[in-house]
Amino acid sequence: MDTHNFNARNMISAILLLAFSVVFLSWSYSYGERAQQVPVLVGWVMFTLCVLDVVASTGTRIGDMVRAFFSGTVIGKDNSSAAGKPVGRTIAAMLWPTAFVLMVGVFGFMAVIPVYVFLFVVLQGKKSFRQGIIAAAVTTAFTYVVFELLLSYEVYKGIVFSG
Amino acid sequence: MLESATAALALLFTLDGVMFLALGVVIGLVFGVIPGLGGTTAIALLIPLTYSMQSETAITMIGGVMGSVAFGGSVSAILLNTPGIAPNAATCFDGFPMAQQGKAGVAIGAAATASSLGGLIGVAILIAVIPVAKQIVLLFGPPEFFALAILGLGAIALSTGGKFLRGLISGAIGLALAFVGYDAINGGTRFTVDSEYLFDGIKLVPTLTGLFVVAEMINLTIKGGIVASEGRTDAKIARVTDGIKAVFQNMPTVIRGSAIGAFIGAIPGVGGTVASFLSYASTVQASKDPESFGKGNIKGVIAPEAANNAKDGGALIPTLAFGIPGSAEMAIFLGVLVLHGLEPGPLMLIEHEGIVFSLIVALASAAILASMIGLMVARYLTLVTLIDVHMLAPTVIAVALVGVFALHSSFGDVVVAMIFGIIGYLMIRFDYPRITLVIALVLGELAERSYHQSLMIADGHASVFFTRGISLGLLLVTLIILLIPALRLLLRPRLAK
Repeated sequence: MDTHNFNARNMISAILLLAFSVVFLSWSYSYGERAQQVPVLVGWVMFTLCVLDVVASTGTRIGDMVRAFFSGTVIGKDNSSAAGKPVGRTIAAMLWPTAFVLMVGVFGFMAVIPVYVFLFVVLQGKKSFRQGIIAAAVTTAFTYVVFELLLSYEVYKGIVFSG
Repeated sequence: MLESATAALALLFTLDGVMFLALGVVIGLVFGVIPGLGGTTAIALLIPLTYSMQSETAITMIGGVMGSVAFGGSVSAILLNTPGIAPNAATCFDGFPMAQQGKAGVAIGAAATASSLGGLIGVAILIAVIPVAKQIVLLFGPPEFFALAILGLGAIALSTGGKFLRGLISGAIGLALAFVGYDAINGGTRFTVDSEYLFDGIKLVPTLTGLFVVAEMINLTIKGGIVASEGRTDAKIARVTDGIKAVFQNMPTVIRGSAIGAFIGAIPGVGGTVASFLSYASTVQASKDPESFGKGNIKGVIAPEAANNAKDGGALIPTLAFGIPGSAEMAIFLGVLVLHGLEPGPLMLIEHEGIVFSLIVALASAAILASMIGLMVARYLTLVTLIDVHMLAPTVIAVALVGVFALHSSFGDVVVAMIFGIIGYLMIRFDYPRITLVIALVLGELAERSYHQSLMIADGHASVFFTRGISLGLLLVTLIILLIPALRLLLRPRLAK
């Protein structure tokens, strides 16, 4: 078996989406006859496309044919952007905003923004304390002036400060 | 029509109108200069700020952004050899060599003038097409709208190039997400996991903010460094008037580029990049001296810039007349319209002509204002690209999420934006186009509603889609589009011979 185009990460993403399509399809069937009509149609189309994507990710001759059929070109080396990105840095980059949202849920935007921006600039960006303080102050002031003063929006205060 | 145009002009020349147009232009220029951001991110960030504005004012500001992003992107293309947005890539070919030859000012002057003229010609084409579009829209019933929605999705997936299969998968996921929430046709709710928040469906603004703002910031964080790492930010910007004069000496290039831009812009999914490259290629072909291109020929700057700005006028035709957005930027613009209680589609041109003309006037004014402001601040604009991404990312994420919350005072929206931020980044990383997901999410409801209405009209017979001329024609075009990659593959050996 020729597996020169096999890419494990591509395969994993394709399999996960195939699983999603199966869940969506079976979920669609749980609704009434008319309500399920279009979702079931979309579900089967998605399932078929995902199967083709899994096949295309195998790197076999059939997989290459599927990829060639849909891309309209003869397939060469897989140059998917999934390659060559450090996993640790990727996870950290996704964890920062996730942690920000979780903390906002508890303490609210105005309390969390200066801390988040400062810590991100200093720890993730490896910048000086001074740069961190400036970035945090500018972002907090901008948020306060634009949203609270100019637009009169009430910015979320979080579970702790909502009373 | 004349009344609406006069009212739109009167609104623009108020203090609020001019102020918000200028604000939109400045924001558009800054986001255009920064590679990786562009109009989509700018409009997604601005949506919450428009919530408390009058519809016309909001549309004016967004029009300012749309009309100026392209010129902002050309500044970084010329000075840094880094296109601010993808369609500016064609400007790099001759713009950057001109900057290296010490003619940065000439190139920027030419880009500014070509952008303005292109924008104005695009708007003129839009105005000319509106009366015709009104007549065409009246020929469309539910089967035609269903077929058009499917065609839009197919065309957009095709535009993702080598990612056609994954573009179609993203489109299917977008359609699946569009079914979440209350089912207006059949009653009841679907796919809500009993969450009250999801009864209203997956909201467009948090989804767009996540996919295009948070995801881009995560991507930039991983890349690290400064936004642009090559080119010169200290280039002298002189002899701008030489560039302006050169554009008027090359009017056929401007007109050809603008016509290509407006035509390509009107086809859903094809977009500005194809328009700019096609305009560039046609100018090279028409030239008596094709060898001079790529070495600093000013026509190589004029042609893509004219096309790039003219495409907005064309792109608004399917967006406003049929509710079919042809690009991510137009999908987000649709979100702005919906937020302000306006439903794009057949009735938009008839019932909200005033809004349509506010946008037209804003686009035309932005095309001129962007060039004027851009020429004054071009050198300083490029300094924006020297900002470290680790300073930019947390600030943009924080402001974007505050904006998302402010829309409906819902923390659920913030969580949704965050989730779609991660999904969006994973889509970037694993090469699944985000644009087809967004457009499918927008078109999902239209497609399902039209499908059921069509079957009702035909007493449940699906043949209704194939017995009406326009519907059949649109479905045949969709079929051809789906077969294009395969046909290309089959024809390749013959073409090579």
